[in-house]
Amino acid sequence: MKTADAVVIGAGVSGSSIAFRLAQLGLKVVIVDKNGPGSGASGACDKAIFMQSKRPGLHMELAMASRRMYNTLESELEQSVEFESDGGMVVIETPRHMEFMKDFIEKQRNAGISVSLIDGDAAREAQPFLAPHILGASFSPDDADVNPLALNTAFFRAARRHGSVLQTHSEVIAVNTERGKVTSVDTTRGSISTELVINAAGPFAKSVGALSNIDIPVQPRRGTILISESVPKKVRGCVLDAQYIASKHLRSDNDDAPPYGVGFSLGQTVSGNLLIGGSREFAGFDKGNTQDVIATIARHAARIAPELASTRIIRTMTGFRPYTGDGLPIIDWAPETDGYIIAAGHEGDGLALAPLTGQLVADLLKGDGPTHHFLCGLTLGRFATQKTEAPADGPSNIINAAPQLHANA
Amino acid sequence: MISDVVVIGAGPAGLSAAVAAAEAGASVVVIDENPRPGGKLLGQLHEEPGTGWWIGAEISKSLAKRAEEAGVRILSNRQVWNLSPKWEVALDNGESVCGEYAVVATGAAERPLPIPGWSLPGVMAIGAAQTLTNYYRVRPGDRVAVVGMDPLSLTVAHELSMAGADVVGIYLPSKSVFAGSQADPDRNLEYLAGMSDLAPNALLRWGGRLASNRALRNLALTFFPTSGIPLMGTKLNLRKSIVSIGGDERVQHVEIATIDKHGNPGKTRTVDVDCVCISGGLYPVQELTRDCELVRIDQLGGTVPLYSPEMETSQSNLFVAGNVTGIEGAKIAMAQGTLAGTAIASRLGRIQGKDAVDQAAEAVRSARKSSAITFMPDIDEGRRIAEDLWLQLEREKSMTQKDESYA
Amino acid sequence: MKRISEHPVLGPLEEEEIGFEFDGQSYRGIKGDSIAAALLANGVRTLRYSNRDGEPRGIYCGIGHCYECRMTVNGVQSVRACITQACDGDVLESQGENRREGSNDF
Repeated sequence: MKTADAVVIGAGVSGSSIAFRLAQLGLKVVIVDKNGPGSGASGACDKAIFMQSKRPGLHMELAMASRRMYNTLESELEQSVEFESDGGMVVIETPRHMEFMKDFIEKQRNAGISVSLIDGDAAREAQPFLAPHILGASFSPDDADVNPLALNTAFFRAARRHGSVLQTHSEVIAVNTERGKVTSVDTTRGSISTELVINAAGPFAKSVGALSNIDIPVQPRRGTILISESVPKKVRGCVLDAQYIASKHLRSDNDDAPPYGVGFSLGQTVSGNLLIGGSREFAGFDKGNTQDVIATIARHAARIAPELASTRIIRTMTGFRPYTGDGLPIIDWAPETDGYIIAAGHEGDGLALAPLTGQLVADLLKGDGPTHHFLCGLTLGRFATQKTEAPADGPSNIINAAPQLHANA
Repeated sequence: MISDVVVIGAGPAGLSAAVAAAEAGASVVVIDENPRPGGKLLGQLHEEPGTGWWIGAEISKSLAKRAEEAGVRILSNRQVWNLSPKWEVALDNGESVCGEYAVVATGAAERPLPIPGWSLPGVMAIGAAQTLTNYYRVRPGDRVAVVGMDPLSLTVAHELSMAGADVVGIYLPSKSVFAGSQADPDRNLEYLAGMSDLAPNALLRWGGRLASNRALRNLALTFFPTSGIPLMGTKLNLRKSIVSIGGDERVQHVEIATIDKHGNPGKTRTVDVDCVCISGGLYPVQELTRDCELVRIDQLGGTVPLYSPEMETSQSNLFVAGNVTGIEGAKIAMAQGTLAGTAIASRLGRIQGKDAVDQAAEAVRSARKSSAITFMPDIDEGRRIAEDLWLQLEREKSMTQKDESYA
Repeated sequence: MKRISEHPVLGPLEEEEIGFEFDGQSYRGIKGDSIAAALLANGVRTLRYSNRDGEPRGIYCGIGHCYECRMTVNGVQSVRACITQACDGDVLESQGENRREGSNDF
């Protein structure tokens, strides 16, 4: 039987970040994935690292700590991840949203984010594709962009340089224990003897946890993104709309909200393709029946950026965010099973928090470290009293349940 | 739109799968982004040993006709945006097509082989030149240089000559990270020697005796005439490589270097041409199979999905056929398509018994055996590796199930 | 000029003509042509100009993969000329915002 100091389940951005930090500590790490790196949420997301959309408090503090790590990440990983700090914009369509955003921006500033309100003309000057009806936007130079697949690969390669091994197409079928301690992990491609297992299976964390009778309240929240042909550089940084942010607080405004939790997000890859988002729905693990969702995303996007209406779409992608209900991931030891760590539930923050996630797990393991103080807010126990259920789909329910401002932010 | 089977790609494999399933009574929709069914088969034109000319456009037409007579709906000019399980194909007009079974027959694309100047109008992939010449009947150029030596480039060079183009020569690419061993004269001679029944008889008569033995091959390279050897109206230049392509707004000339037997360039000279055809080899296109168990097998041309003896992937009810499974000729693609379509018809209960499926599987083997053109010299080894990996996958699955039943 | 009207193996060429316009000039093609083939038969190689440097680009892959041949067809942007049939009366325009001055094809 293969042996490892630690087995990380899930080779997405979170799992590979964790593998890297644990390998740095000198552990012999095996990463297992039922498919391969980037085959799940990390390969079906946009590229934004949004700061200004985070909720003040722990959510924001985590994002800021992770964002600081991004500044030196490429040299640390010895590879480009196409990290660009071009800032981000939240565009405002209505006077009511404008009133709300003024208030919101004030709160974000107090939380330590650099963010300013600009008028419609300034917004259009920065992003000329914006429609004439856009009244203004908030802009933050702290927002940034990264190529998720490059990030995933860079973490994985850095982990490999430290001796980690990746085992693809290995679905976990059991985590074995003896007297309450982890002893080995069985996969469809053999077993690995280990005393430490990290469940970083993202939206699948629940079903992996269930193998060990650990209830991990993570549910799949489906998102769809459209991908365009390569076009000349036209998007600076990343762009969202204010609809979610406003409607979360202005319930009566919900009538305008498009179905499927659709909101505007736009980014452009280094090769020129546009990533046009996005939706947020509870649809189980079903990747099908997205045609009306696609149409809704396209209509909404074309209202805010009219020239998108004539831009050719070449692909769509659908994935599942790991949703916990309060917008924060779970980074914690599992109760009653020694050697079992849960690191999942980042919802749309997998990218923003990727550098931090590895460090959080390393600090959890050591019982100390620069991020250790965050862990008391990321426990599994916080869900013990309230059971999170996926609300039925519908605009009002989505907004009531929305812990976050935007799906992929 | 709902059907029993949805096929992506109306090339030889996809059309054959559609015909087999539909003739057994299944409802079938085929989706293709080209204006007419046939895929790369449309442009094929070569002489088959014993059976005369293989005219791809005519075979495509009769396959498409047969499909339509069997009730297949062929949706041309439609781009696929996405394929999702159980099986839904999202189309670029906002519609979707659902099928209980799906067949991915997306074929192959050409590996780029960058050469300085290759973005100039007039430089094109060898396959583009083939379709233009044989299907659209437009000469890609009047004076054409061909880069890269493989069955496709030799065939197309011949086709260009037949269509009245002056093919100034077939050259090796210059040494680069992209060209790899394609720039190595020794490897090229070995490769050419392995193409048993292919049309370049002149070379094979000349090289066949020498090329099979390594020491003699070395000798052959040393004495390979630097002027190249005449071959079907052009010159095969194992001792020359194209260093760069030049011209003002379009191809006007190429710089050709004489190379030693290791591919290192010496003297160069400039030759006037108005078209350069680059052949970097083919690779299977996996844009829609990402949820399948994929594995890179260089002998098959790149990354391919593992598939069962009936052409089903690790995703249940998702089948593959043709070059998406590895680079081979159209006849094999057609046999694979027929196998996939027959297997699906059988699973749908449209065909009773196993005989038809077994026969279709046997037909793939015999098509492979009698194939005149072998694109990948070690294709048999590649198929064996793929088969072994599939069996391994099956074993692991059955072990997993056993474990579960004990638990 | 580049049309292969005589071929030793293939039969006679389809004769039905079509007319279309590309960047303001009129051309003739043959029914069934792809846009890229019809233009090449008229000696037109440059189909668009690259986004970065405004360099001319022509047919490359011929299978709709490389997107080098995309152009505006009857007002619809980014249509791939190599896999789109030319139709009588088509109005075609090359794309490329940074098109170089003085690049007049054939």
